[in-house]
Amino acid sequence: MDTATEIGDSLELARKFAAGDLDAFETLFRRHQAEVFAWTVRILRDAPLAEDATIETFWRIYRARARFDGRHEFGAWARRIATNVAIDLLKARGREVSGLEAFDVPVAPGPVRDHVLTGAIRAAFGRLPAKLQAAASLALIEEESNAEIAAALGISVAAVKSRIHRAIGMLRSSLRRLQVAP
Amino acid sequence: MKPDDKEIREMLRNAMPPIDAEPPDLWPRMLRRLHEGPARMSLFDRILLFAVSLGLVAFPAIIPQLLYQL
Repeated sequence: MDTATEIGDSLELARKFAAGDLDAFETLFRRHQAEVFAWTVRILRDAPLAEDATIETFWRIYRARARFDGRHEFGAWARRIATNVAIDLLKARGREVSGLEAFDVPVAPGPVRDHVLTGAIRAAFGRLPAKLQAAASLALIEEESNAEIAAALGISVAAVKSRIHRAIGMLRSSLRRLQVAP
Repeated sequence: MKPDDKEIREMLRNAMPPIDAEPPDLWPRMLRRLHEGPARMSLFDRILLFAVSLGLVAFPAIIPQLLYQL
């Protein structure tokens, strides 16, 4: 299929989706669900929660379908909504659990000190405000570019840098309080 | 990035390695979600919303602080 045909198909799909065609929505869902899941799992660091985030993202997309005109890329739009959903879930998780329970990633086997250190780092990370946690997870752990994070969060690159800087500062303070270097 | 910042990055990456998970087919769940419609607000949530609204009207000075936390 050549590029012009692909663009024509995408526009037609977008038009049908905006009109409420469920088959068009299913096509878009199947095309983009893995991408949305992969993005939210990078922020949430929890696969089951990322599945919930994926469903909630597409639910919000479906409700907002009338606003999608097809001129913008669907994937970028979905990623922006997915980021907001993930931040909402981080806020909810922060209210429900704190500290060591915040992440269900299994701890690799190793000396007890390593377990304690890993737990302390996860706890400190889990206590960051949701917006800082999202930016820090994407930038520091996943090594996404600041421009990509800015686009997903709907803020400027300077604001992303500021959030990362604040997150590092808060992490450093928490880890010092727990007498963990640096 | 400062050397200390790089150390924090390394600590984070060691403590929270990337999750390599593939999503299952979520379309059946999506269909159920579409048929359920919008989530309904519980009575407790409505009371809470009313109390918060009342608080904001009574003490508007806390609005900027709340916005900062959001």
